[in-house]
Amino acid sequence: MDLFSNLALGFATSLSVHNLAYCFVGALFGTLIGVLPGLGPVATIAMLLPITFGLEPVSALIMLAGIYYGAQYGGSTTAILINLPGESTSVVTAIDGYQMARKGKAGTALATAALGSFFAGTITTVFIALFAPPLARLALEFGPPEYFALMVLGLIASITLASGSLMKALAMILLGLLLGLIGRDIYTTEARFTFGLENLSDGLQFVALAMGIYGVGEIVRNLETPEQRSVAVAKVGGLILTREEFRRIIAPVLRGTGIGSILGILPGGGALLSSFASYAVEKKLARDPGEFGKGAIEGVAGPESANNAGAQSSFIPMLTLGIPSNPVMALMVGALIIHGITPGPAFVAEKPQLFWGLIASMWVGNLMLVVLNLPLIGIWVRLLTVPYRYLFPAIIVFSAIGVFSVNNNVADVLVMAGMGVFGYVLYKLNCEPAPLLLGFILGPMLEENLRRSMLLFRGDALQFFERPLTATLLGIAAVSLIVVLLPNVSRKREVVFKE
Amino acid sequence: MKLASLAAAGLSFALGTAPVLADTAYPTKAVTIVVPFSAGGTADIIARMAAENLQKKLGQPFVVENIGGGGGVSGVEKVTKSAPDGYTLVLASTSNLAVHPTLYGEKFPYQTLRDLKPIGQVSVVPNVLVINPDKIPARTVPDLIAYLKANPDKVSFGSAGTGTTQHLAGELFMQKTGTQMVHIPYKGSSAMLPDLLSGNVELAFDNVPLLLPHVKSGKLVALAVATPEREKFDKNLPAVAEFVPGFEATAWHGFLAPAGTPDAVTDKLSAEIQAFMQQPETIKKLEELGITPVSSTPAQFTDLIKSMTVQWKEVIEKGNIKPQ
Repeated sequence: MDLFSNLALGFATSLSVHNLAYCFVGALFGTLIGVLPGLGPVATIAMLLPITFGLEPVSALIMLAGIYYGAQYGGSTTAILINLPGESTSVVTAIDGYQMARKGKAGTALATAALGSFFAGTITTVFIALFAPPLARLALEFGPPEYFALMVLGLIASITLASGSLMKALAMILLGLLLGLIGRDIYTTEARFTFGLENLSDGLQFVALAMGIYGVGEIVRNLETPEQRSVAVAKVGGLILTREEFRRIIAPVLRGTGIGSILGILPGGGALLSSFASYAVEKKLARDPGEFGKGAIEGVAGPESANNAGAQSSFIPMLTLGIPSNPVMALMVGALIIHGITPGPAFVAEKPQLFWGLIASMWVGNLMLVVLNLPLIGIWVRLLTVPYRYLFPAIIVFSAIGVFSVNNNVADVLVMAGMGVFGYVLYKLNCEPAPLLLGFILGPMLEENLRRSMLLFRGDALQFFERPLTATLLGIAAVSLIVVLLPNVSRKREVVFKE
Repeated sequence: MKLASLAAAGLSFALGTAPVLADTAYPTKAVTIVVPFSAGGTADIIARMAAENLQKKLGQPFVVENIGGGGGVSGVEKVTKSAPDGYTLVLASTSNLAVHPTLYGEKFPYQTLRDLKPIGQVSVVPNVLVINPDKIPARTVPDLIAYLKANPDKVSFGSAGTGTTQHLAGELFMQKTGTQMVHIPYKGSSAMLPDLLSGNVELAFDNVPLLLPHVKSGKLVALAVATPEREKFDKNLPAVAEFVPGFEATAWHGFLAPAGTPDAVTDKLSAEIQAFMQQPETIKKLEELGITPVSSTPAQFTDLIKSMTVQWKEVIEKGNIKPQ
């Protein structure tokens, strides 16, 4: 395979004037709509999908990809500015990004997110061009037992997400796992914890949960102490990163890119795990882990790079195997099928122009996002100077619209409202919500894959250890449990004694 | 029929608002077509194509609204509770209409033929029986049956979820052939596919568009199609029914209105939808998508829902699939 001629073909396709225009329009639309709270990539693409029906397949795909990156970036913007993660991958960004904004460094946080994403996008584009087919085979190595082991590892890593009490973090993870059990059991179709409500049979919607706990909870909290808010707004400045800040983000961005491009390949939430994983890694490696949760720039740079790298590498299983790894990819497959193209093993060979055009446009799209967003940062940040009494009703209204639009379902809006109250209670109890959300995401996947593995093993649990990949992952999980737990326990004890 | 309704519409226009013809003046405002699944799927594509056509023919906007959730239950339920005036329609699938009300029992929010009025079936999405050739030596349906009989409970079959046509197809196959396999449900076909390709599950019944690229590449082998007769996309591929008499396990879609919608309205819609389904462009486009276009009357669609409800009820009860 001649990489350079392939990439040349790709750039020739994606740099044609009209494809460049579609890429720009996609990135712009994606950013504008994605910046509305709750309207993440899935909702945005679902809404804009019909527009692309009349286009050439390659233009349609390029535009959709632009919308995808744009909406993802837009989601991070609201997460940083108003603590509203409009989609699952920006939950992690909200943790430290919002704290940065409260310290008057919103501009820096947004610029970090943009630059980190662009860098990750550039590296991942090359990565995909070089390794797409072998990487796709890696995705197939992951059967149910391997996923189960990965989820176990993820849950153990999630303990590090919390910066407060270990017991509270464990409680939050378990609560998250329990919330994740709501809905119809996929094996028996039995409705669990739904109180007979058909609307709960699919479980709680992640966006409603995250936006309620973070966004709405934050509003309740702000209204309690309005003066605190105006202090934060007073010092907005600092759009450009200092040399010191640049130095601090280089390593996290590189690590985030690596984590994201590998985990993103795994169908079923890989890209999502990558931002959590990157955060956990940065926190473990940081010289001062205590800064995390209080506005550490590494906590924005790492996860933002990871989620963008993951977003891009999640194209690999779709384009090479026809397997959509997340709801956005499922929509993309839908769009391709409408154009009479079924992605699958023969796709790269049969439609090289489409495949390489898309890959090149990933990079072009990322470049456009930076060009588009660096000037916009000033405008977004100025949003914060709007008096809060005007800002918060607008946030609530847009959040409600956003959550509703995902499934056109009123119940989701009610869930968001209820979760807002719950988020406020958690804040009062000094419980951090991030481990809860990770438990909520991992729990159902853990259960699903454990039970699927046990069915495949016909009830013989020892077979987990006969599969090399599974055994290795479980081994790493066991070791990290010991490593993670011991120092934390002793450190927490010290804190307790200090009090 | 189409001419008659057009003539009636013209007449009502000429005569003004005669009360007798009030119903044939339908539609006088925008019509919502609820698709109980997210955008981009098969049902959504059909609904959008039909909406565009109906809008042209009937002169009012036809808006597709995707209401996902609960495997389609939320969307269908909403339509059953809408006013029976023809301004809310639903494009539902086999599982919504002929499986869920049985599977989920008495507390289920709707009964298909009590709460909905069929307008017409529009599609059949054929399921194909495929195997992973590295795991199963059989290359024909009789060989497969012999292999399964010799190795009871050895083969795992994957499906898009408990109660989907893909799952029930497997159950029906086991019940009709007296074989035993272990069912492994997934959240949707595309989640199952990687495990089928890598051989974690060895067999599946699933949609043609999803599987065909992998059959072409040799990763999977198609043994037969689950429609009663051979399908156009590959006339060399036998139907399961040639070896297992009476075997039919396909997914289909159709339009319905809330029960109590006036005949004049549903007849008019039925005529337009049938005409649309017979257009060469519609047929060509749907066949490209791996969907077999169907044009049927409200009565034919009602019969299909009835007979399939009976068939799947038997399979569900015999296979003890209901939640306890």
